[in-house]
Amino acid sequence: MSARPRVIGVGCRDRGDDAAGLVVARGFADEAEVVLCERGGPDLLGALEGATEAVVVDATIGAGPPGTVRAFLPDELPSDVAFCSSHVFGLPAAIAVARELGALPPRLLVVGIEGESFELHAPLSATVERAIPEARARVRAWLSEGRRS
Amino acid sequence: MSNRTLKVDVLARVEGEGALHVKLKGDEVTDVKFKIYEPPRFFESFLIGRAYTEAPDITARICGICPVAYLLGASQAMEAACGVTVSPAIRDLRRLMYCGEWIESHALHIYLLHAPDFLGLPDAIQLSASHPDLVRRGLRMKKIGNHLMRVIGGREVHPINLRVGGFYSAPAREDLIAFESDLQWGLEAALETARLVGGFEFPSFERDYLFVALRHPDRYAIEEGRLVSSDGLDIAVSEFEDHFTEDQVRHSTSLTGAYRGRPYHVGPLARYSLNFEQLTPEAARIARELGLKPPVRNPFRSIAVRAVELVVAFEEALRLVRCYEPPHPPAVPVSPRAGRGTGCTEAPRGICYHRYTIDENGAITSARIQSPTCQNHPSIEGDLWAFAQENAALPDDELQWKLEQAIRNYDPCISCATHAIRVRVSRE
Repeated sequence: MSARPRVIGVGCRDRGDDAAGLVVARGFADEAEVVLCERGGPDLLGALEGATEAVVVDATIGAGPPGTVRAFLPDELPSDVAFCSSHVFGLPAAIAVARELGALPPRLLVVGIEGESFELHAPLSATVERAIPEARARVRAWLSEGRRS
Repeated sequence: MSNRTLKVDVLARVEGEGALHVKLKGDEVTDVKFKIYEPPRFFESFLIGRAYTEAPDITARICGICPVAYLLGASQAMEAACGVTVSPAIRDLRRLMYCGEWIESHALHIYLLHAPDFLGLPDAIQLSASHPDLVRRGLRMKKIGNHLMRVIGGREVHPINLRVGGFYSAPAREDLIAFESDLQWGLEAALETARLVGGFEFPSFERDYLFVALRHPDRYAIEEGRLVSSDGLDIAVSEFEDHFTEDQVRHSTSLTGAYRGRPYHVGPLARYSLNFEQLTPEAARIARELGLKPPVRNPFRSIAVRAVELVVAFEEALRLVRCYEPPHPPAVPVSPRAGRGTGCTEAPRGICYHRYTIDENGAITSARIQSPTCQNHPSIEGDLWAFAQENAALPDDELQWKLEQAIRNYDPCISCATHAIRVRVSRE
């Protein structure tokens, strides 16, 4: 088991706001083990393995206006929100598989950032770019809470 | 006469986004469409004007699952255009890396995407609940493939260490020999996988495929070879376009392939049926044990063939790691000249063809890339038509479920093909 918390960014760097999770996660190299997961579900399973405390950050569709940042516990993932990195199977399926295999980190948070544009080869939209600090603040608050407990 | 429409608007457990519509009038199939609706990606167009050295890294972005097929195909094509031949040591390292891609892709498909179909389960989540040890085994195999890709390629998704002419740097021998025990475990796990999936029950269904694959004179073709077919074709890759075409269809953003105007089949069944005598020793032994005689024309048995190929990949990786010496230099020098070059490798799903022309400064003036799923598109629709016709008496939900499986038999990579899966069956 890894003692260091893990921040896992999920997404594709070449598809506009789909990269939001990767961008958020990259900001935590000094305080956590950062894992970038560019193939969604199957690789997320590997990224969760062995972690005791982890935050997964991904882009969402259906969670509110673009730029909306929401945080979910693994048991509370809403069925009406799509997490974008669904190459083969997506984030909720990966979390469900990890749970069945007994491989879910005991302390886990999912942070979603509502995307605006998922154009191929496009950068982050300005709206999502502005939401990155809020998403990082959510992650940081969760990590701090873990250190206190 | 009742009309029925079976439709799946978003196919599950495939790479990318696609749909299936099947129409029946009574028990007669009247229409089948395998629709790929991912947006076109225009890779071939935006390569124009880019440097010949950029083609491998740009085209690798076509797919996160099989980037080596693009990195290598593009590199081979540019080497051919520039009149360069790489050393045997570089070829071996490329083959070893490709084994990593086969391992991760085949393990993922067999365990997480395809096995649930044969165990009567809806998805990998239920499979994890009922057979957790199987899923753990599949994931561990996949992880070994990922690590191999990372050590040789710099990272497992869209590797960055490959270039026209070879590699930017060669991994140290100790970094690769460190894999030996993992690969030995993986070989045993692959044999167990073959025994497991070889024992599944398969629908009684066969098609008279025209198989096309690469063939290498002395090994199971993965990273290079000549193009051969089950009707006697035996050509250099550079002659591909004399025999193979690609066409547009209205219902799909994927182009569709044809061989002399006919559908053809690429991928594990084609490779296995055309190159059976070149299986590695353990793979040949398990194939005999399973009674999996070539040619295999039942597409539902592709899961068993994929498992035998998983054995090939682990055996070859083990052999190549044991005899590995870093290539010196890691890349041969390449200077541009005006010309045309082709490349072709066996991606996990079948042959992936590249052709480029470049000018005297190395700028790309034309590009053509034919992915395996494009080539299999007509064969997939043929399977769906034939299976629906033979099984038209089944209730709609059961028929639809089997038709979805028939698509997963191909492990289609829809993201690669767009240039997908929803199923709809209509009864009139």
